[in-house]
Amino acid sequence: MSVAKNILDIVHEHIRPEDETKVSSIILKVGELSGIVNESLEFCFSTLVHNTPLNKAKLIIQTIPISAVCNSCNQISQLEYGVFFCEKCHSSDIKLISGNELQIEQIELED
Amino acid sequence: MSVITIERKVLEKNDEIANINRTLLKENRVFTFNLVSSPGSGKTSILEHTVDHLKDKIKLGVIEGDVQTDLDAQRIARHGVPVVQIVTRGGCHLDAPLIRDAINKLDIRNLDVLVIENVGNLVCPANYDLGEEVKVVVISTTEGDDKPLKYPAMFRNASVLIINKIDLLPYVNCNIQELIKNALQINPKLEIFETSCTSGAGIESWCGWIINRASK
Repeated sequence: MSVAKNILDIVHEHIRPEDETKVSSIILKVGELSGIVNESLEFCFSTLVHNTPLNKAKLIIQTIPISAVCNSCNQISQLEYGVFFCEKCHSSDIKLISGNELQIEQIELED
Repeated sequence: MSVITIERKVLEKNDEIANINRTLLKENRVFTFNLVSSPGSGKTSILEHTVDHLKDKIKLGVIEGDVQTDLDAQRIARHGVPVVQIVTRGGCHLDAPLIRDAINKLDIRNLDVLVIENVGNLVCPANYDLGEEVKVVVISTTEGDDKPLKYPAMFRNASVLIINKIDLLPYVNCNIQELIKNALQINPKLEIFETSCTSGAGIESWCGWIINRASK
């Protein structure tokens, strides 16, 4: 719920009150390691915008896979949830390069 | 249709305040760690033993986070160290603004170490930076050896793992070698301590780690 509130706070900073009814979608990047359950976030968001000028706004979640670069062989691996080693040399000395995202990318408005 | 590009982190306000907390604590040379676990792993019991072990050697302060009641703060206060209770009233994690307010209630100029005991939860606290230097995750043997695999984000973000309730190993279905293997698979850099708050095993070496970090 606090994540949904934070999203709305950021939307309010970018959208003038008279334009709120025009907001059709909010595009969000969510990494697989961010701990966000999409359905729960969508539910919290819809609860918060119900009966407000933003009630037409849809939350569109783009899931970002977990990926890492190997510190031994420089291979970039796409990792399955909970598996943290290089797909090439199997080293566990890796640096995550994606998967922790929780970011608002853009807001779309109807004309 | 028009598009407005935002590209802002959802938790940026929390992260900003966390960085302010971190700077303030560093300027005052207070080593701060965020103690996280499931409910009932023994965070508060470990803290009670830690306080008893260290209170004559270094100046400790504690911030207690709970969904309801100040029972944990009462437990810690009995051991004679300053403690501030945060009651989240349903919130499943602490956040940086709550810690900022709690820090203001402590005399941090007079502390060497600040322990933040988070709300018992292995999911959301992984995402909320509080301004700590490191996260310390506690798991008890009664929770099973597969827990690191189920909650990888928390184990990945932590620097230290305390395996608590090792006195119960003969009675529970937990293979400690398997548990350690699973934890290191998620995060090979984890420092691991094995403790029991019933026998006192492992408390001394865990406290040695705190003293070592606090004197850096």
